[in-house]
Amino acid sequence: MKLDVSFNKRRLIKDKLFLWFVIVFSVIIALPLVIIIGTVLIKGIKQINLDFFIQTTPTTLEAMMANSIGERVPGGIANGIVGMFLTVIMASLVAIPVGIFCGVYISENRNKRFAGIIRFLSDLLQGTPSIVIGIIAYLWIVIPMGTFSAIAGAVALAIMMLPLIIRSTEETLNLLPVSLKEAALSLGTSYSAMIFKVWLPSAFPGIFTGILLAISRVMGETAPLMLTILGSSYIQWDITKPNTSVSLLIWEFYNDPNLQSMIWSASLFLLAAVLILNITAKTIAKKRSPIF
Amino acid sequence: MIRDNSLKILTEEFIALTDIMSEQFVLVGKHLEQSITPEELKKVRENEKNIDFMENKIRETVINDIVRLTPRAIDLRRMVSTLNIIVDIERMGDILNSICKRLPIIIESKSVWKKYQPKLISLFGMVSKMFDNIVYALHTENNYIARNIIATDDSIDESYHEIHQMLFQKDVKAAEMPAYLNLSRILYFMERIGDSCTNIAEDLLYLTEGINARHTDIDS
Amino acid sequence: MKTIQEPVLKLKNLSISYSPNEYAVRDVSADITRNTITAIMGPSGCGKSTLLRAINNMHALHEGIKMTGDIILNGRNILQMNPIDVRTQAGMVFQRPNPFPTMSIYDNVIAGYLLKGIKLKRAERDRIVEENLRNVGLWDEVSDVLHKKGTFLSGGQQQRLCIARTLALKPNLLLMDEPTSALDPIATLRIEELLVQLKEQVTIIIVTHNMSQASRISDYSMFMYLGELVEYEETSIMFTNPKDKRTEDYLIGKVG
Repeated sequence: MKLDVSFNKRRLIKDKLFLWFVIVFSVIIALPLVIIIGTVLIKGIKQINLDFFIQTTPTTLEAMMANSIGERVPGGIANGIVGMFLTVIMASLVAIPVGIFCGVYISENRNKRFAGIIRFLSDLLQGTPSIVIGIIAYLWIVIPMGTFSAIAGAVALAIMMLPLIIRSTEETLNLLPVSLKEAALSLGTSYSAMIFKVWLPSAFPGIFTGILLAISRVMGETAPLMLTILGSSYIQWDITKPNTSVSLLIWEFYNDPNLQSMIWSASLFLLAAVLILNITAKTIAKKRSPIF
Repeated sequence: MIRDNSLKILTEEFIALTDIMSEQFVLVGKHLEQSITPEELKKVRENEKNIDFMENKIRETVINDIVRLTPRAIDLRRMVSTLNIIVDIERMGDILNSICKRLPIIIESKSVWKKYQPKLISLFGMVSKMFDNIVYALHTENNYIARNIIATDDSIDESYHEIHQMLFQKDVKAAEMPAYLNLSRILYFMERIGDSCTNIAEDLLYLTEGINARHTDIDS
Repeated sequence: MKTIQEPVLKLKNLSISYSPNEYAVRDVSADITRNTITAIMGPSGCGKSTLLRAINNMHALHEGIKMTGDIILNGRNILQMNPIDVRTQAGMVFQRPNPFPTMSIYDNVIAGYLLKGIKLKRAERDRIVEENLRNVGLWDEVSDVLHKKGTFLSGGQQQRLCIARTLALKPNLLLMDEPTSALDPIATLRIEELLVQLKEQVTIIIVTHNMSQASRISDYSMFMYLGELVEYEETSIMFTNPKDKRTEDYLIGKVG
């Protein structure tokens, strides 16, 4: 009896120790994230006001003058927001349908060699460095068009979004129960009607999440945009002309000693956008998952 | 395994019942030949009680098996035919007991006894043989023997009627009346034993061939 | 005056193989009588599900499955028919209830029409939904929540919804693949009672591994073993006096 008691005590101590280890390591991992968010928040919130969203970037001169008298740097990142909006929307318009179709094809033809090849290429694409993709887009779009443009930027971003959407579509579809297909088909539904009216709608939560994550990923890309949209100080709605994006602006702020304070606010904006998208994706996934 | 065990138990109980019955037949045969001892007479009554007991036990076993095993096909037919067969066996047991009770009354009338003892022994021998055959057929589930037994029922009936006719005499003494009445009864009982054996044979045909042979022409 | 009706389904020398020389169903021939319940029984792997799914040509979706012989549904050979027509005349209900999770209960019932793009007037739709939900005994339970998704329903209710969905297309043959295997005993009994009632409207073929269910509700039973149709007989006769030893062994628990 005495032996039992001490043995159980040792086990309890072991359990507690392990629990503390897990807590400590979790905190250590969470720390960088907290530090980043905290730093950006503290340093960037000062610059945020309404102007931040509707005015274009200030010139170096304007900034220098404001800094010298200790005022807040005027202007905002409206041009970056519009540029980001345009490129991401255009990229999505291409990547979403193509990605979903590919995902459907791979999922429906799992055993075919061609599907395997596509999957392999998709994985390859995912691992390709973003700057290489930028160079490709430069070659394919910028040079033939003779100009930098939002279109070129959208193409680069679309290429980056594709593997993510293909993957999430395929994996969501693979998880769907075959009984759903059987139910639709046994009612005399044609194969294509089954795919579009039953199969894909049932996979909507997973696919939508995948799309949101792909968008949040490319929102912050800088390298490919440098080679495709070049940059712009004004709000540019013409997609055949050079444009800018928030991430690109951050790089420009970094290079200009007078615009240092803008770095933090722009970063805060980007971080907030990415965070919101991610949280939205997660909540949708959680809300809809009981179906399965 | 569960099914085999249940089958084994049912078979054992059934064999126990038919063993007691076989002994009863031997004892009654001895009584007819007036070679039965007082202990053996007691055994007859004891056996009768056991027969009744076994009938109830087997009935309970069968009902439990039906509840537990959801019997189908041959198992189902076995349950149904067993229930029917033990009714006829119990009836035969009752008859054998009654025969034993009534024989002394006939034996008292010496002239009647002298005249009819051989006939009784002969008829009893026939139905006794019928019982032995049906027991054998039951234990081996042999439907060929069952059909033969059904065929011999007619000869039993003929013998019974032949002897029974002899009872109708004009000059019966008043003192011999009880003897004649009981004699008539016992002859009737023996014919009933033959009938019961035939019923059991028909139940055996249901078990083995799945046909309902009761009141129908089995060769059609 | 009604003449003697043709069997609703005729199987003639039907053989189905998944790969050369590996037959899941061997040379099965049988006629299914109208307005009866026929149970297909047999140990696992005997080919009963394969046989059932051939009747509404579900195998057309998988390459590599070869069928020889004929399946005559309402007088026409199904292999020469459009699979969509086949599946409208022969509806199927599966082992796991599978109502469409993205559709409301209302839409589930008329899903057969929605998915085919058939436009119905509102009154017609309402009529079909109510009629079929009443038919399966669900109307009273769901009439006030028709526009909710069906996932909160119990297993038995979901399965009845699936039956209503199938019946809405007015098939005259109902194919059921172990429809109560995933349900509790009470839900199972309710569906069995439903099937006995539905017999008057449709002919039912039910694959079941539950012998008691077969004996409770079916008029005819088929016993299959290793792809072969061993015995096809009235249920009351097969269960008391089967002709083939393999059938008997299965019924008394010696096989499978």
